[in-house]
Order: sequence, then structure tokens, then C-alpha cells
Amino acid sequence: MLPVFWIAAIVAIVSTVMVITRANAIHALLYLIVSLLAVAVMFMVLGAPFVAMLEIIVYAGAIMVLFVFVIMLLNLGPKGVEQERRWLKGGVWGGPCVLTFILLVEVGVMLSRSGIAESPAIVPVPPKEVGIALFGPYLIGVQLAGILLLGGLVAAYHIGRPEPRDEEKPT
Amino acid sequence: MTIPMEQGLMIAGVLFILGLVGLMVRRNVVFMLISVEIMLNAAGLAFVVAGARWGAADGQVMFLFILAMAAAEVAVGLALVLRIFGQNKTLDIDAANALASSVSVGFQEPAIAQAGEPIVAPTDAQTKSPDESATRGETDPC
Repeated sequence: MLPVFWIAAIVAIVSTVMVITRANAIHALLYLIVSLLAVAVMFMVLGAPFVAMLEIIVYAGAIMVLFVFVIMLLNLGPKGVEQERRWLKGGVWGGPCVLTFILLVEVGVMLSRSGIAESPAIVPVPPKEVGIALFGPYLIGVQLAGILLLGGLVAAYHIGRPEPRDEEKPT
Repeated sequence: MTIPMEQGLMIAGVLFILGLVGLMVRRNVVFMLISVEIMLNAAGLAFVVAGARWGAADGQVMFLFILAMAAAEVAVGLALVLRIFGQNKTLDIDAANALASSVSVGFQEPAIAQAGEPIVAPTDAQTKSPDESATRGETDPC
């Protein structure tokens, strides 16, 4: 399992370097998604399949979609349309595709060997144990996370609300 | 152990430092948020590596908490990004210095060290800051 882990780690580090050196935000997001997928593969190797799935679903799914929404909101107009046209024909996705293909081959090798359970020293922690720990000794943490998410929701709604300019202008 | 804990923690440290470098180098607010996400992800990786070392579920539980915190943080942060862009028409974090009234006046040192009138200088700065905010509000088209 060691080469699989190291290849995933190298992919993660390379894609993270690409993230912080890109000039275009969308290109950086593509490489960031690859980095998160590589970290998810590392979680699989480490025997944490539940967290690996959550990494893909929540990080690479929900949070990245938020970033894409905001970036798309920020460059509207004809310049944005021209940029879209350039993205469609350019080979921007070449690097992320190569890195993701490496990860795909890794997952295929792991699944074909049924490697997670066969690994001698790694003891996988199944989702059941995580759930038991989450709702047993860490129950107060779950409630605090719920309160934090509610606070984040209220704050994001309050900050992102359009400013009531119309009430100020007549006065 | 086929994967020693030191190597996993080293990778987590490398990812965290990359995120920190990105946070310090970039001046774009969106890139700074992305760098913060990288750092949070590296911290979660360290937790999962340590949890896998002992075969315990606690590391994964901590990663779930980090995940929830990152989701809340990115929601608030992106709302702030939208608000900063609406106010300044740029994503440059250096443009969001409305709280530093002495900076936009011209980076004068606070006139406390001046031997003359130490009380007049702060009131001068106070009288200037409402004008600035008024002009900023006028130039804001939305």
C-alpha cells in the first residue's frame, strides 16, 4: 500500500502547488479539486473510507460549488463571455485530467486487489465505529457543530443581503 | 505499520505550509480563502493519520468537525467576498482598508510623538474619516 499512498501524496502536493501559483481562479479550483481527491485516496489507504467519501462529497462537492458560484458571480459581462469561450477550447483541463487519471488508476488497483481489507497493518475504521463515537462521547461536539452551522447560515444571509439603499436615498 | 505516522504527518505539514505560503503571497481574497481551505484540509489529514495510527475513530470524528467548520467558514467568507467586491469593485485585499483611516490619508505616523498638539491630531483624523466614508458611499453604484 505504500506506493499507492506516496503517489497520492505526490499528486496532492503537486496539485496544491499548482493551486497557489495559478493566476486564474477557475484553474486554481480545478487543481484544488484534484488535491482534495488525492487526499481522499490517502484517506482510503489509511483505512478511513467514511471520511474519504465525505471529503469528496462535502469538500470537492459542496464547498467547491460555492467557490464556483461566487467566481462566476464576480466576472459577469462580455469579458466573462470571452473568458468562457477561451476556456472551452483551451487545454486548461489537461493537467487536472492527468493527475485525476493517476488517482483513478490507483483506486482501480486498490479495488482489484480488494486492498483495503487485505492490507496487513492498516486497521480500517468502519463508518459504524465513527458513528458510535460521534453520537456517544462526542455528542456535545455534534450539537456545537450544528449551532456553528446555524450561525454561519444566519451570518452568510445577513452579510450577503443586498444593502437597503432605497430607504436611505429619500431622506 | 506500512505507513508510518511520521510520513503522513510530514505530508500534512507540507500541505499546510503550501496553504500558508499561498495565504501570505496572494492578495486576491478568493485565493486567500482557497489557501485557508488547503490549510484546514491539511489539519484534517493530520487528524486522520493520527487516528489511523491508533486504529481509533476519534481522528475521523475530528475531521468531521473540521469539515463542518470549513463549510460554515467558507459560507461566511464568500459572503464577505461578495460584499468586498460590491464595495471596492476589486478583489484586492489591500483595497479593503476602510477601517484604517490614517492609511488612506497618506500613511502618516500617528501624531502622538509630535511635541505640539497631541489632541488636535486625533480629532483631525476623526473629522477626516466621515468624509472618506461619505465619498466611498457615493462612489458605490449599487
